[in-house]
Amino acid sequence: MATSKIKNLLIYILLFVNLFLLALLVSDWLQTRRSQHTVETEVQSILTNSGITMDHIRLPDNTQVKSYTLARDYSAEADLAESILGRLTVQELQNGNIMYYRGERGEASFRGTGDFEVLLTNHAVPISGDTVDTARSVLRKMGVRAQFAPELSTQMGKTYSTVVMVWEYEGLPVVNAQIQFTFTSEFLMMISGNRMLDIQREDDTFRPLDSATLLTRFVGIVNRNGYVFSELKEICPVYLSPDSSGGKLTPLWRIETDAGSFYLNMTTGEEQPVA
Amino acid sequence: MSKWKEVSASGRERLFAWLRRHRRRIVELGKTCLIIILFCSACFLADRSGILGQGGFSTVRENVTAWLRGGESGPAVMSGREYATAAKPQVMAVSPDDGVHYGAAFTSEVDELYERFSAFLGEALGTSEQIIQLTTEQWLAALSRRGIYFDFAVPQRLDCLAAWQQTSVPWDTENICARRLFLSVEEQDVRLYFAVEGSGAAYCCDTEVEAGALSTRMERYQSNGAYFAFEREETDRLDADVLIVPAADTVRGVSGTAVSFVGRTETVLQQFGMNTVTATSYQEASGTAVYLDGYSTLRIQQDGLITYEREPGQDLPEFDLRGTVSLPELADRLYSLTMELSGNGGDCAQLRLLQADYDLQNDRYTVSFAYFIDGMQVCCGLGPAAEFTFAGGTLTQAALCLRQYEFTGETQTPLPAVQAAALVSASGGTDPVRVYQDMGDRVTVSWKMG
Repeated sequence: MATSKIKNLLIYILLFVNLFLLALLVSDWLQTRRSQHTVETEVQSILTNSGITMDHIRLPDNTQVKSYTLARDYSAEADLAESILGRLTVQELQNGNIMYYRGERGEASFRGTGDFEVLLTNHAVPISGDTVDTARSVLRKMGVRAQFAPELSTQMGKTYSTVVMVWEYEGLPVVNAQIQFTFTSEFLMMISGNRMLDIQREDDTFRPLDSATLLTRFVGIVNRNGYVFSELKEICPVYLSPDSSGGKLTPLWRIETDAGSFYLNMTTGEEQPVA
Repeated sequence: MSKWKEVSASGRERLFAWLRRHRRRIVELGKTCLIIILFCSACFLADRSGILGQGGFSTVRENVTAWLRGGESGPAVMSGREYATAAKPQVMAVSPDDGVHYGAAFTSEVDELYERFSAFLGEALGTSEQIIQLTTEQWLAALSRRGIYFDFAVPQRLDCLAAWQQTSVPWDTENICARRLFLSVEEQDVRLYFAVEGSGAAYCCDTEVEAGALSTRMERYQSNGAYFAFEREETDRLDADVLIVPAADTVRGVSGTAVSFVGRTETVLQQFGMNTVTATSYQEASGTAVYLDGYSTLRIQQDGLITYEREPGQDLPEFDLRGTVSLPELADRLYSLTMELSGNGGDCAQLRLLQADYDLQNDRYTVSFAYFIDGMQVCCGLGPAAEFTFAGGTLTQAALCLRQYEFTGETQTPLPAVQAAALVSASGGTDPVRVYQDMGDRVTVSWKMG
């Protein structure tokens, strides 16, 4: 009986806690929606005054984006090589931080700069379906999520002789981490590119600016540098992989306009080159 | 059909009878399940609402996992040894095309550039081979081509530069020191050029750095008017490979104070391996406190300057170098010692390795540190922030001038680089270096003759 009463009490307490947290979430959500709407209206008027239209653009929620520290993890790298090459027969750290692998299906080298190259033996990976499907199936084996970038790929007739995929993390593209799949008419010949290094931990110091501030900073950058465009097409968060063999996965805003793309650092609001 | 109805009816009756018999247990089980569901729901809602902090449950999970593992944090990373401190260039240039230079000098932008290209320098050092000696003209011709220029302002050992990039030079560097290095992109190849200090000779070697990858990273840079001294007549009296970056900028005003060791004498003695119990002390007329322990003498001056001396050949276990310690490892150890005594130099200065050198002839190591603010070295009349000398395998001398710096909120406009170059060359100097000059009561920006 006592146990039953304790359970009843626990249920009441947990119900109360749940209702309280739910009320907190709902009120937070309503407030965010209200302020988001206010922000969007204000920013839209700022841009309209500057001669820029931004119809139907939803500002991303920066609070959902996180930053991470990255470093080179040789064991993760070996797993990646093995997923492509099969059982590894040679694994050698050469001078200059270059790791060389040889397996059943070819050989690969991975560099400290993040660049890598995989040369496959003939017919090791035959084309199945079309080249894009083949590239996707290889990526599944690698355990890598990536987005197909047709604008960076080379089309030949109805198919692609070179398929470029942009690395993805938590659903966001890592703009400077691209994988290129080079095909012959029958099989995959080579995989090369710049890989995103390995996640170590979340960066607790990451504090993004809010959407209104970022957009206002963007207007300042446009005015300062004399960029000319008339329409904002899309604003979405993306990631930038660090240059050296370690650093942070930096969240950026990619702002698509009718004159090209711009990238804004979410922490500083400064324009960020991504090449 | 009626048989089926009979069977299902009797089944239902049995079920209800069973439920009636075990009603209490079923209710209790239901309550337990409800508690679990409500608890999970509360955790989920707490995570979403941000009550658990910015990291939410993932932070809590990480902390618990780390506690269970006994303090380990994160997955094991098999990387080469990473050092707490490393020398960095003070001037860099990216030349995306022949004769076109984007330069940065004595600013924090140099650090950003180095972060972008240091891995390529490491790869070049680690894969360097086929070393060829060059004439001065060939060295200067290389600087005019596409590539990346590094000027460390102070000569650095090539093996240390490689170690700081977690690699090693594959040939015997014979303690070669170079202050200026250049990664030259020559069609499909990248070659490493460097000028050796002291002899004035220059060398180049082949590397396995991929030209395409390096070129891609250089693409975004355009000329900002930077040029090498040999490229203009007006700077032909300077060292030919000095980079001049004409961009005018302002620098932040800084004030400095000495680090006080009042009440921390024991800490200082312990850092130098001196026994706080048996050491004797006295005070000199100037107010300098002197501590003696065996063969070690430590002086702490009133202005905060610390000097340490030990008779050569007298072993000091805490600083015994014989056999096992590399120069970068030694630099790390001394960096920790200096940081322990001084902190990082206040809110705006960063203590950084200036030079780590080994004199083979005299079996002497020298490691020195300096403060850097916004990419500029702080020069103090009393010497670098810290300098250590090892002879015969043990620490024989040390001098520490530890300071704390803060921004004053003001700005200063230093003499532009072009004018500074003219002034330096008129004064007989060949290499203008911009520094913060700490004169004790004030800190100013000036150009010194390198």
